[in-house]
Amino acid sequence: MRRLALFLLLALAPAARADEQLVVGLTEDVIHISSSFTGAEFVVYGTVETIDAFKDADERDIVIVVRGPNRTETVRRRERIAGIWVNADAAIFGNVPSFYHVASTAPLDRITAPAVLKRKSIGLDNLALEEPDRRDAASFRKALVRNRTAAALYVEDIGGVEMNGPALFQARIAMPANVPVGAYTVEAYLFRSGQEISAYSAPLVIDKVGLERTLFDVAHAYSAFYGVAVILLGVLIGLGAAFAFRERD
Amino acid sequence: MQIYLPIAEMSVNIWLILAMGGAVGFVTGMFGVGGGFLMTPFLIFAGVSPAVAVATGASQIVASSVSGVAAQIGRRAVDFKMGVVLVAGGVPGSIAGVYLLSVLKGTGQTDLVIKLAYVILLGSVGLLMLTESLRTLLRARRKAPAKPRTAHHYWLHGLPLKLRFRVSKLYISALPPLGLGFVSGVLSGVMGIGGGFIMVPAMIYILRMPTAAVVGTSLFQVLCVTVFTTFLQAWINQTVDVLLALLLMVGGVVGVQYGGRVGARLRSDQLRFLIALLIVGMALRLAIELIAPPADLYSIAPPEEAR
Repeated sequence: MRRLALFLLLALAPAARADEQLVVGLTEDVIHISSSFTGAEFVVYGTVETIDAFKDADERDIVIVVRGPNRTETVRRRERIAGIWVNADAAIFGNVPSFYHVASTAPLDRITAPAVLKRKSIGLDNLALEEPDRRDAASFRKALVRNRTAAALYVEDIGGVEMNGPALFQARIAMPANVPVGAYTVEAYLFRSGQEISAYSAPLVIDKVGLERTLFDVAHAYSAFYGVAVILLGVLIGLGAAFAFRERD
Repeated sequence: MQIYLPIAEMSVNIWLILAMGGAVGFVTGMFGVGGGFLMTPFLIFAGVSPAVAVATGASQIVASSVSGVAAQIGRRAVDFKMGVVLVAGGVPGSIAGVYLLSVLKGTGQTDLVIKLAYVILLGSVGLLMLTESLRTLLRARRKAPAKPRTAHHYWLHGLPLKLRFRVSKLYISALPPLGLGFVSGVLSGVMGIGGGFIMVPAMIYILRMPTAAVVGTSLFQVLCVTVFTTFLQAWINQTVDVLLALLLMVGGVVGVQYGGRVGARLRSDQLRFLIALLIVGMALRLAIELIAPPADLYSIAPPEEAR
């Protein structure tokens, strides 16, 4: 009986919600960080699956969000004390994405209501951060986003979702070389006249591989051995150079 | 050509890092200072996080100073006895420094304390050396006979535990070198440096060692301290990046050899004048950083300091 109910729920739920459905793919769902890693670029592509793709096609809006693992961050503010700039104040934010890229077909405020953006944490102004309880939290928050944007870790790319025909779309996502490793999510939303019609979410993993992974693991799991190895490396290189340069004296 | 660093978690240009290592190595070989006070700011400027910069910088100095010590042993310019006494003071100092830094973390003032320490130490040591070496240089130009050094009997000679240091031609108490070693150990723990820039002038002006022996002995002491620090950093903080270290080491050891040759050709008063210029320049640069209005008043704390 329960199985039947579950089956019915699964079979009927999507059909009941909308006649338009997002189908999304990634050119890469695992990004490997190897010695030659200088950042990553991949494409999120997809299509709106529907009976008549051309019907009111220009009323559709697509938003794509890529989020990195959340962290707690401390934002500091400097003040001039006795002629020297000193970190005098700090605010702590929770649930701060380490990477955030939003791409859309149109300006976010024209796609849907502010409350929806806020609820879904879409857009740099709508990140669902855990904010400190203080009156000037907004200025710290702004600084946090400004700092991350300057480091290319936060991107808001209006018009970044390109439509190729009435139902096909794609967005190019670029990540800098200092992108943190971990579990990411890729989300896609289909809006029509401000209403969310369909949503899609997929995991994306960024991980070190090969030499980078081995060295990182050894440094953490066998740290004493790693330390001795680095010292021996230094001694060998130092002696090697002293020997190589010896005869020319 | 770019390479990704597994611990620093960033991509760097291989040639840039090799050149950095070479430049710092040149200074190491020439003056006998470890060059940590140049390396750490260089790395941070290149975008490496302070914790990784400090730890990896120390590991690079290991290679540079091994190479430098080997070259100095050839010139019989290392006072091993003095070196051992300095190191005996340096190890507890280094532990104290690492502990002090761990207390500072989380207060958000690590950066300020490190920079202030640099400005005060580099500034006072540098100015002292600059005036002294300028005076000596000017006197040499006037061809007046230089005042004989070490001939004076002063408070240092009244201390107990006297030891004979043959290479340095000194017969002094072990206490001042022990104390000096301790201070340099603290600095190495807090500032991530070998402490050479403090040791070199202190050995010249306080211990009154001959400049020729100072460089080799200081390199020996720096080697021991940085071996110890590298191990502590790798073991406790896991912030030593071996690929970054490898590049810096290769660049560094080559630089050390050329620096050592240039240094050997210079007169000791000229050498002192150049070290002083370098130290004062660094102090000025850091002082400006503290005083000039920052581009952004806000900053995100590095992960190792975030609570």
